[in-house]
Amino acid sequence: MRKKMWAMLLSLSMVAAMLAGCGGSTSGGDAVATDKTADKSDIAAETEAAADTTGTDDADTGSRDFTYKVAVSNLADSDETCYIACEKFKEVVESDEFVQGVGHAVSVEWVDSDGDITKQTTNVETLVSKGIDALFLIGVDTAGNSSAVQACNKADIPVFMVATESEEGDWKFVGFNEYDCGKVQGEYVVDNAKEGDKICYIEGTPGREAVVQREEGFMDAIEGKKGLEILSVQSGDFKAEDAMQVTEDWIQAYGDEIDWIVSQDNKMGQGVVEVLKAANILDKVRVSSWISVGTWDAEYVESGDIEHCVYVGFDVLGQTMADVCEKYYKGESIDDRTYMELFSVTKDNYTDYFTN
Amino acid sequence: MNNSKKINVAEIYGKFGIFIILIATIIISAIISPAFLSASNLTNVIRQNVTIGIVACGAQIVLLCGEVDLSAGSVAAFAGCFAAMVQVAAGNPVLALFTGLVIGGMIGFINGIVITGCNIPSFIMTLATQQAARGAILAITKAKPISKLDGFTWFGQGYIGLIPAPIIIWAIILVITGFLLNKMRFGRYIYAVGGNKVAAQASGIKVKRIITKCFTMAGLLSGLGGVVLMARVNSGQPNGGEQLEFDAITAVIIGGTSMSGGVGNIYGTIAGALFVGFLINIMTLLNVSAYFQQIVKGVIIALAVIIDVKVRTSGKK
Repeated sequence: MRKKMWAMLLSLSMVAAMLAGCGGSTSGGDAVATDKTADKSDIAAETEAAADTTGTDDADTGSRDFTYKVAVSNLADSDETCYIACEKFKEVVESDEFVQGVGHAVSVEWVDSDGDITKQTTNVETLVSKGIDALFLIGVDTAGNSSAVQACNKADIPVFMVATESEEGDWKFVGFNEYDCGKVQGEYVVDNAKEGDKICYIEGTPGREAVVQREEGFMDAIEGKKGLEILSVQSGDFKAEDAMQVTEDWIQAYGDEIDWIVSQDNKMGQGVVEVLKAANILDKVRVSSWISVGTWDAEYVESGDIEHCVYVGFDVLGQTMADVCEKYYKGESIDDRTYMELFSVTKDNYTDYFTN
Repeated sequence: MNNSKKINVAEIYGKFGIFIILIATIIISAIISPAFLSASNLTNVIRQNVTIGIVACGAQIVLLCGEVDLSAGSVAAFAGCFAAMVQVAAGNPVLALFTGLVIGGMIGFINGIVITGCNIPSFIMTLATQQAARGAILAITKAKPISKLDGFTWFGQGYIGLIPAPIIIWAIILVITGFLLNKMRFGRYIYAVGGNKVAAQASGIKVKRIITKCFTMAGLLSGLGGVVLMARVNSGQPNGGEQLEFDAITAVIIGGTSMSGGVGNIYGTIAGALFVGFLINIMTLLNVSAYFQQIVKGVIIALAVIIDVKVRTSGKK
C-alpha cells in the first residue's frame, strides 16, 4: 500500500514537473473564455459600427467587448520553423495593435497535428464544431488536406492554406513556394559553380511533399547547366545527426569529387558543416543551405562556414499570415495567393537581413 | 551421425549467428565497395552508432529482466538538452554531463517505481514517458536548438589519441555492462527475473527492486546517449533521438536477446548495433535511394530475427 502511494506521488510530481515546462502560448491551449464567431459578412460591418458607437478611447484602442476567434492548425509543433510562424501569428493577432487595427479583439486557437494528417483533419472538424471565423492551415499533405478544407467550406469558414496546398476545396494561399525555395538554391549554384562541378544533395524526410517540391525546383534549375552533375541524393530526415551520417558516408564514397553539398533545411545544413569541419574540408566543399530561424542558422553564413542560404523567414511568414487575417476582419479584398519573399543570402549581403 | 551434425550447426548458429551475419556483411560490403573497408569509414560507422549502442546497453538490461523501455529516445533528448542548457549557463562540460546522467537516471527511476508500484505494463508507462518527456523538452526549448556548446562537444567529437572519444565512452559502457551482467550477483538476478519472475520471487530475489534498478540504469544510459548525441551535432536538439528506442531495441533483438526476457548477452548487442550501422553505410556508399534503404533495412532485420528464432527452435528439438 505504501509503495503504491509513493509510486503515485512520484508519478504525480513527474507530471507536475512536466507541466511546469509546458506553460505559455503553445498549441492546444485553452480557448479564450469569451468568444464569438460571427458571420463573415457581418464582421466588417460590426467593426465599423463599433468604431462609430464607442467613445474616443475605444475607437483608438478597439473594442474588447467581443473576442472573435481564428484558428491555426499547425503541421507539427515539434517543427521549429512552423512553431515560429504560429507563435508570431498568435503574438501579432492577439496584440493591442491588431485590436486597434480591426476594431475588436481576436483570439487564436492553435492546434498541433503532430505531422499526422488524420489528427489534423480531426482537429479541424472539432474546430468547426466549436465555431471559428477563419482557419489558417499548415497542411500535412495536399491530398489529405482536402477533407479539412471541405469541412470548413461546408461551414462557410474561409480557409487560408499556409505554405501548403489542398487538392480540393476552396482556399487561398499564404506563404512561400517550396518549389521556388529549391529553385533559388539551384540558381545560386548555377551562377556560382564552375563547369562540371559535382553536387551531393541532402533531402528531408522521404515522402514529404515539401521535400519532393524543393528537390524538383533545385533539379529543374540546374538541369543542363554548366555540366553540373548530381553525385548522390540521400535523406537526412531533417535531422542534424542523420545529415552528419550521410555526409560522412559521402566523404568516404566520393572524397575529393564533391564540390557542393546542398541541404534542404537548416538543421541538415548544420550537420553537414559539422562533418566538413571535422574532416578539415570545409574550405574545399561549398554548402548551400537554409535560414529559417534567423539566429543560429544565420550565424553559419556570417562566419562563412555556409556559402549560401535561401532565407525563408518563418517569423515573416507568421507576420504575413497576421496581415492576411487583418485584411479578412476588415473586409478587405485578399488575393488568391499571397507570397512572402524569398531571399538569397551570402556573407556579402548578410547584414542586409540580419543584425548582430 | 547426420543428426549430430545438424545439431552442431544449429548450436553454432545459436551462439554465433549474429556474428556470422555481421562478418558476412562486412565481407560482401568490402567486395562491393572499395571505400567500405577503409579505417576512416569503419571508424565513422562505429562512431555513428555509438548513441544507439549506449542506449542499447540500457535496452538490453531492461529486456533481460522481462520488461521494455520505449522512452529511451525522448529521455535522451530531454536529458541531452538539459545538459546542453547547463553547458551554456555554466560553461562546465563535466557538470553538464553529470546533469544529463542524473536527469536520465531520475526519469528511469520514476519509470521503474511506477511500473512496479502500480503494476502497470512497462510498455504503457514508458510510452507515456516517451510522450511526456518529448512534449516537455519541446515546450521548454520552444522547439529551438541550444547552440554554443563549446567544450561540451568533446563528448561527441573529441579524440583520445587517434580514437574518437564517443567510441571510448561506448567501450567503457560495454565493459561495465558486460561485467554487471556476467560477473555480478545483480546480473544473475536480472537473468533470473527475466527468465521466471515467480520462481525468482520464490527464491528470495526482490523482483520489484531489481526491475526498478534496471529502469534506472536504462534511464541513466539514455541520458548518456543524449549527451553524446547533442555533443556530436554541437547543439541541443529537442527533436533529437527520435525513434532511438526502436533502433536500440532492434540492435538488442538482432543480437539475440529474447523479447520475453532471461536470454541474451552484451556481445550480441554490439554485433546487432554494428550490423544495422554497416547495412546503412554500404547502402549509402552504393547510393541506394532512401526509399529502398528503408525497405531493405526492414526486410533484412526481419530475416535476421526469423533465421535466429528458427535455428534456436530447431536446436532445442
